[in-house]
Amino acid sequence: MPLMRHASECPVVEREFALEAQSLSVDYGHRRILRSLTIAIRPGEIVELRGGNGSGKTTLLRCLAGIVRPTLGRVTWFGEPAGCCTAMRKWLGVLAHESSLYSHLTLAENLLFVARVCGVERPRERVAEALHEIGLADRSQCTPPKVSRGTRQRVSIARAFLHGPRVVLLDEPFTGLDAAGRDWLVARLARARDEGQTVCLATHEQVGSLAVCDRVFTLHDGKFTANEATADHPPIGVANSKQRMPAA
Amino acid sequence: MRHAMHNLCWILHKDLLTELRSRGAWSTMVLTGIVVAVIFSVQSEAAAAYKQQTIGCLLWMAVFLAAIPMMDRGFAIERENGCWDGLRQLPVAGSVIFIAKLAANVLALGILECLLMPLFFVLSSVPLPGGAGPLVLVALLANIALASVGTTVGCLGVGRRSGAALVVLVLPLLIPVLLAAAECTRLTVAGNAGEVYWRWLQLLAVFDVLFVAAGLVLFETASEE
Repeated sequence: MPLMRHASECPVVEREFALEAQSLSVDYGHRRILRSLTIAIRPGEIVELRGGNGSGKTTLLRCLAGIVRPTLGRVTWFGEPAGCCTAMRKWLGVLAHESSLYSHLTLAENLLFVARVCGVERPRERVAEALHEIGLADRSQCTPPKVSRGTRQRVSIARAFLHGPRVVLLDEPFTGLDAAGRDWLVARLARARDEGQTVCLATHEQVGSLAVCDRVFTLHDGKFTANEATADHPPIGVANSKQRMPAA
Repeated sequence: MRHAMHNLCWILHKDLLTELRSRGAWSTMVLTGIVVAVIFSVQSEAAAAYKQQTIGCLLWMAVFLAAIPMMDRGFAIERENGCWDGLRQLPVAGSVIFIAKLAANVLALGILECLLMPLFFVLSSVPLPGGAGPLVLVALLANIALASVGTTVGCLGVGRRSGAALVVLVLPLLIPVLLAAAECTRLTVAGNAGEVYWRWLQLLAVFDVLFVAAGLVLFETASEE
C-alpha cells in the first residue's frame, strides 16, 4: 500500500479535500499572476489545469506544492496549512517545469537520493523497480545530459511517483514524450487513480490526459474561465468522481 | 532527530559527489590558493621577522581569495535544472539543508588549508614554534565563520539568476573574521599563543555562533519565493 508507506511521522486524518486553495492570489512584482482562485480537489481525483502560456498554471501548481507563498489566500493539504510540517511534504510528489535532476549524478543516483531522503524502504530495489517501469533499467548509469529530453521527463515523472505520495502535482507532464511515452503516462495516471492517489496536472495540450481526468479547469490570465467553472463542471470542491471527460 | 541526521548525511553525500565529479569549483579554488601562496611567499624578499609578522595576514588573504568561487558553488548546483525546487519539495527542513551545505563548505575550506598552510610555511621559511595545534583550532573556527556567511549568501542568490554577484556581500561581513584569524596566526607563529590569542579565538567563536544562528534563521526566509 504505497499511500500509507510513510505516513507514520505525520499521520494523515482523512479529509474531504486532498488539496484546497482558497481565494488564492499571487503577485510577482506589480504583476498579478493568479486572481483570487478557489479550487478544491478530493482524494483520488485526477484534475487537469489547462491554459495557454502565461495563464498561471505553473504558478498555481507551485502554490499547491507549497513552493510559492501566495500573496493572498491559503493552501491546505488534507486540511492542514501547506508545508506547515516538513514531514507533510512526503505526501506530495512534484514534477516541476524543469527536470530537477542533478547533471553530475546518474539517473539511478538521482532517484536514489530522493528515495533515501523520503525514507523509502529498500531504496535501491525501489529505484531499480522505477527505472524498469519506465524502460530505463539499462541506462540507469547515464547522467541526465547524456539522455534525451523525453528520457529525462520519464525519470522526472518517476521521481514524482517514487515514494508513493498521496498527492502528485505534474507540470506539463507530456512535454518531450513520444507517443509511447504519452501512452505510458496515461496508463500511469490511471494506475495512480486506482491506487487512490490524487493527481493535479497542468497542460496546454489536449492530448492523452482527458481520458483519465475527472475534471478540467481552464485558466486564462490567472482566473478560471467562467464557462467551465459553471456549466461544464460540478461546483468547485463537489466533484463527482464517477464523471469522466470524453476522450479527445 | 535521527531522520534529520540521516537526511543531512545524504544531502552532504550528494553535494560532495556532485562536486567531485564536476571538478569545477574545487579545482579553481585550490589552484587560486596555490598561485596566491606562491606569489605572496616567493616574491616577498623581506626579513624573517617581517615575514613572521605578515604571514597570518597573507595566509588568510589567500584562503579568502581562493574561497570566493567556492562560496556560491553549493547553490549553483541547485540552480541548474530547477534542482532547488526539487530539493525544497522533499521532506527536509531548511535548517538541515543549510547545515549540510555549511558542512560541505567547511570541508572544502579544510582541504584548501591542508594544501595552503604547509605551502606557505615551507615557501616563506617561517618556523611554527608551537606546532600546528593552535593553527588547526584557528582554521576550524575561521572555516565555520567563512562557510556560514558563504552558505547564507549563496542561499540568498539561489532563486536568482545573478546569484553569484551576491557573493560580493560577503566581503564586509568577513573582515572581523579574517582579522581575528590573521591575528591568531601571527601570535601562533610568534610562539605567543597566550591570553591575547585566546581572546581572538573567543571572538572567532562568537562570530561562528552569530553567523550560524543568523544563517539558520535567514535560510527559510531567504529560500522562499
